[in-house]
Amino acid sequence: MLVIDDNMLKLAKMQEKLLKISSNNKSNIDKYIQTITKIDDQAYNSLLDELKQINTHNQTLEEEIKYLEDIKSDYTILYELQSGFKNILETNYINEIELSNIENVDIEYINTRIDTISGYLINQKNLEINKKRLEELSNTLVEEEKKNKYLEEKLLEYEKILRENFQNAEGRTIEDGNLQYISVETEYSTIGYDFKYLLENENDLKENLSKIELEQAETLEKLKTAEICYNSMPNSSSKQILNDIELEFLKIRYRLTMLKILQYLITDYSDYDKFKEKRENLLDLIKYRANYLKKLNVHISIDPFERTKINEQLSQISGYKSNSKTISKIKKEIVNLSERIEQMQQKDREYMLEINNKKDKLIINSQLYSDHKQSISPEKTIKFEDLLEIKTVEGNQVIKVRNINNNFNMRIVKDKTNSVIKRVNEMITLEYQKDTTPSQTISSPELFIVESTTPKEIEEIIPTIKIVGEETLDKIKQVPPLEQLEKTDESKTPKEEKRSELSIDTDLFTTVDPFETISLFEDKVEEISDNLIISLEEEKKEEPEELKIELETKIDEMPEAFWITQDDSEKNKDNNEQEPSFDEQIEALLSEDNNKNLVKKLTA
Amino acid sequence: MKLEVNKIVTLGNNEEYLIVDSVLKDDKEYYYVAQVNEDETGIKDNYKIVCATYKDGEIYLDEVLGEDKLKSILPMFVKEED
Repeated sequence: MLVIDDNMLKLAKMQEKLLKISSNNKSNIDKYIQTITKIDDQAYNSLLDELKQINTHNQTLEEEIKYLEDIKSDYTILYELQSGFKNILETNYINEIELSNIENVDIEYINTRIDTISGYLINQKNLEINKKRLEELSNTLVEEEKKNKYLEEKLLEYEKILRENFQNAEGRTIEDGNLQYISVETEYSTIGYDFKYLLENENDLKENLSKIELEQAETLEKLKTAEICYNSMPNSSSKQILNDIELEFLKIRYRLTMLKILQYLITDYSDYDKFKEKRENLLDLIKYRANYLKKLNVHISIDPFERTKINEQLSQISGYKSNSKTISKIKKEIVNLSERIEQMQQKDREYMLEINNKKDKLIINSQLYSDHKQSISPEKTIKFEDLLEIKTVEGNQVIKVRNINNNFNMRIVKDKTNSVIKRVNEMITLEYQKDTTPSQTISSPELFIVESTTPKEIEEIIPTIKIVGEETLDKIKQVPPLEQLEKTDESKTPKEEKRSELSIDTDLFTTVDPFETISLFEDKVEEISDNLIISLEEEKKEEPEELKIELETKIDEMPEAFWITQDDSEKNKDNNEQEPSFDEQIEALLSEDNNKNLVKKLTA
Repeated sequence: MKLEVNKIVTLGNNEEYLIVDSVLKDDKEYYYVAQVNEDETGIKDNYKIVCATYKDGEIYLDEVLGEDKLKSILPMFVKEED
């Protein structure tokens, strides 16, 4: 759970409001930066703690995804928090702010992992749902097929009943004024067909059908010819011929209708629609038959064909609904569902492969994490000035100019700096004069200066220290000891001011290295004693008093300043620490075994 | 930003220097600077003569090295005692 101090957040909001009122107030911005840095540090650390709680074992996928989603949620909150802070700072013209580096959180992996696990779980769930659905559909299909079977049986039963109805159907007709008994069977027999025989012999029925259809076609041709004859010669003879052919054609159509009724009766339909269609067609045929009989002057009081209960069957089967469409729909759905399940199972295998690739760290760079812990230590406070355009700053670029603070001891600093510059100038001038005097061969302030190069060359440098002339050494020895100088800062009175300046001068001389050749030696002699190579050269025999000694040594580090010779970080003790006096340093130098020859020659 | 005496400048390498004095020579600004100590109460024994150069609105301080240059510039920073 992301830890955000509500009070600090409220404070930040208040400070934001203040910044809106006075946007250029550096103090307000500094305070705001301090507040948001604390909020950010606290939140980021809690997020990192949460990240470290990752459990790579004994965790279900549901537990893992919950953990990752919590992390993601916290990450999002922190990201939005930082964005809000940055927006405020940008509106106040601060382009960069060192908030915690949430890029260290491997959010890409977390998102991918969440997607994979949720994808897998959803796929699993869908797979389960689809399998269940498939099972349900299969059961439904079985049920529907049962119903369909029952319906088919029922329809076939109705077909049988219908045939029986036709066989048993009775009617009445008036013939010669007498009421005569008739039936379907007797009606077929009157036109030369054996009803029962044809019902059982489909081939004979088809043969008779073919015959009568052929007969119909021939009679139709005759009829057309007779019509043409009658139209061309409309007389009674042609009229009679036409009437006879029309009657014959009518009888053929009646017989054809009767055979078609038989053809329907011998065909059973288990399909609901066809079953229904058959009965509708039968009713039409019976109607046509009745018309033909009427035209043939056959009067039937009670038509046996109308007592076959076809309409009754139609009303009875209307209670049953065909489920064939339902069954085909279910079958189609089952096929689609099976394909989908197969795809899901394939996807499931892919997800499983991805899920097994699990990382045990959610932090991209643990080193960065530890760096962050250092950077957010309470001692470090980001200030407004630190954030001004830090983009790509070079080492010698001025990034800030500010006033000195109240604790700055300006008086002492002035004394020191004046003394140093004066002393340096004196030395330069002195050496310059020597350089210009014909009897002198000392020609350069290099005399006491470690030949310094640019910092880039530090690692490779082998400085050469040249001591030229005894006179110079004597001059150095005249400098008062350091102890005298140390007291000046502590107890300085106005009366002593003048003397104090002199003391400081000496003090600085002792502590400021370019002219503290001895200090330089003190610093280096011990380190380099093993490597010290002293080479004595007499450059010019005409000037025997001048000796040129080259001390060649390697040093680890060269000073940046042109006259500094000691590591400031070590030496920086506000100039209050006791250092060896000038004399002591000279003695130290001369006491070195390796330098004895040099000393002898110098003193000679 | 303006370089002025008695102000502290921070360089890109995070070192802070007190501007002790300044001179103008050959249209170039030279500054005598001393490195400020950690407590910001005084200075370290690290002194430099630097030359200010201006580029793209930024100020760069280049240390003056070399004997000849120092010979010509150092005397300008020495103040006569009253």
